[in-house]
Amino acid sequence: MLTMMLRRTARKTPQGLLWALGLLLCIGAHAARLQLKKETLACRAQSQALAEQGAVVADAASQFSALNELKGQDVAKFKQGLSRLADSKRQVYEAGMALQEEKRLLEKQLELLTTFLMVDMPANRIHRMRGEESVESFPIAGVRAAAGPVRSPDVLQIASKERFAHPERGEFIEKDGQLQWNPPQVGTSVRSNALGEYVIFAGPSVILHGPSSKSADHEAFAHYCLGLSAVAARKLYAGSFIGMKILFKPGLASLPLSTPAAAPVVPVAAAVRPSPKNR
Amino acid sequence: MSNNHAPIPGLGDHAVGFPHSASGWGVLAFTLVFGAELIGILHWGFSLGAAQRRVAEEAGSIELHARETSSLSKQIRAQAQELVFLQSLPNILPKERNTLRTQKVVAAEVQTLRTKVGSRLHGALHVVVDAKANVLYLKKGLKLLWQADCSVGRGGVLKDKRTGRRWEFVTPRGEFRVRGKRENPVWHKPDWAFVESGQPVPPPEDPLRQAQGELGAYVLDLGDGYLIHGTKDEAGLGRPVSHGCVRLGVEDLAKLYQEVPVGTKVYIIY
Repeated sequence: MLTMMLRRTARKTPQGLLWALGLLLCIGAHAARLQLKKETLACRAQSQALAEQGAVVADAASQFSALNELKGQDVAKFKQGLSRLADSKRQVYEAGMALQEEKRLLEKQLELLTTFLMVDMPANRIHRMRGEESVESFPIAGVRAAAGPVRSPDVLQIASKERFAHPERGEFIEKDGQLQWNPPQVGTSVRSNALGEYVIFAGPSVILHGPSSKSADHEAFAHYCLGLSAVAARKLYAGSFIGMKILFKPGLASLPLSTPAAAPVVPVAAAVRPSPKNR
Repeated sequence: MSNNHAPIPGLGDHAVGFPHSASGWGVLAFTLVFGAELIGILHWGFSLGAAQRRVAEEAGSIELHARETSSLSKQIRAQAQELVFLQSLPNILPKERNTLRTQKVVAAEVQTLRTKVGSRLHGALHVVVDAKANVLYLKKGLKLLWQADCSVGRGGVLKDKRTGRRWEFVTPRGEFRVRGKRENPVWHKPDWAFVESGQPVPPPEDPLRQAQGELGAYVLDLGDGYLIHGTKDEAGLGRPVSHGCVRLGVEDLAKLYQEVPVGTKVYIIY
């Protein structure tokens, strides 16, 4: 059918036109081939250029990768070194702290071991001594001794300190056949009124205290004491500690005794009834 | 006419009827040329396709590398910043040289103190209670055997409005001795314990005053009413929360009870 049509068309169409068409087809095909070739070559050139750029970029990426790796190693090394440095500095710091702590403890302990009170009777003063030096000095306001022979060692020790001298245990009262207990009342006790606020018990026989609340009660309360002013008693109370040695110069036996008439001698050990502080 | 229309070999049916003449050769030439051009078109067409694919591949590769480079660049910048930060860190710490110099001086002072204190302690076993830091040390001479958190007096004054009495909750400074040791002690509650809790104060021998287990398994009596004992509130150790006694944890108290004989000196320092 197609052949027939072609034959018919070939017969009908003038030969010149056929040649011209053929020539045009050839030229068109040639032009198309040239265009394709040109584009292909351009594309190849572009590809080549891209390949070169790609190589450059790949090279740069490789360098960046190497640099990154080096930086990573640097950071790791630095961290390791820093860790060691920090550890070393921490050890130095901790050793310093331990030294400071030991120094503080030893200083405080040495203070306990080397501090004592010296009662200078001729000068009428109490010295708080640290080694050979007097750190603080307090005037003795008065000396009170009970009747009877007094013989105490030249060295005593602080046995107890009371901020408020009222460790009494109250009293029992029988009411309607039943035993009732009345707690001690401040201000009513002879002991409390006699000794005042800051009280230091030295050994079994001597009391150091501030002004008494009632002088009558002080006279009535049988004890051996060294009286201090309120300020001195407060300072001595703060600066002294339990176990602190008290040296008497000269000995206590030479204390000037004033003898109150009816005051029975009560051993201080009995007068000092330790309050139940356990808690 | 019919003789001129014999088929040309190789041209198929299309050439049927074309004469063996100049026009016949022209058709042949046209066919060859056109065929060659078509082949060239096909060749360059495929080549163009291949070249375009290569361009796309190269572009893709470059993009990939560019992304990689960008990512690496960010990482490097981050690491550089980290290094700068890390380099600034040691400046936080004190200069070691000065610290060491000071430490050397302090060490010399400590050595002097050790000599002074050591000559007075004679290597004896003793207890040191640091009432500021709430730490108890057991030492033999200058040698620290062990240390433990403890609790000392919290300070402050309790006043009984009814009787006017006052109690000061401090652990006194000083040099004590362990005067006695007891197991399973019963706490004889003092007056202040009732005043503090707002209860009426019972007579001294009232059974209400007996409290079992409050002081722990052991007590070491320091005299003057002060004890080293246990506590039910171990969370309070390391802080001043007691009423004047020295509190220890269960295990430390047991250890101290085992290791410290009666007569051992106890130094309470502030």
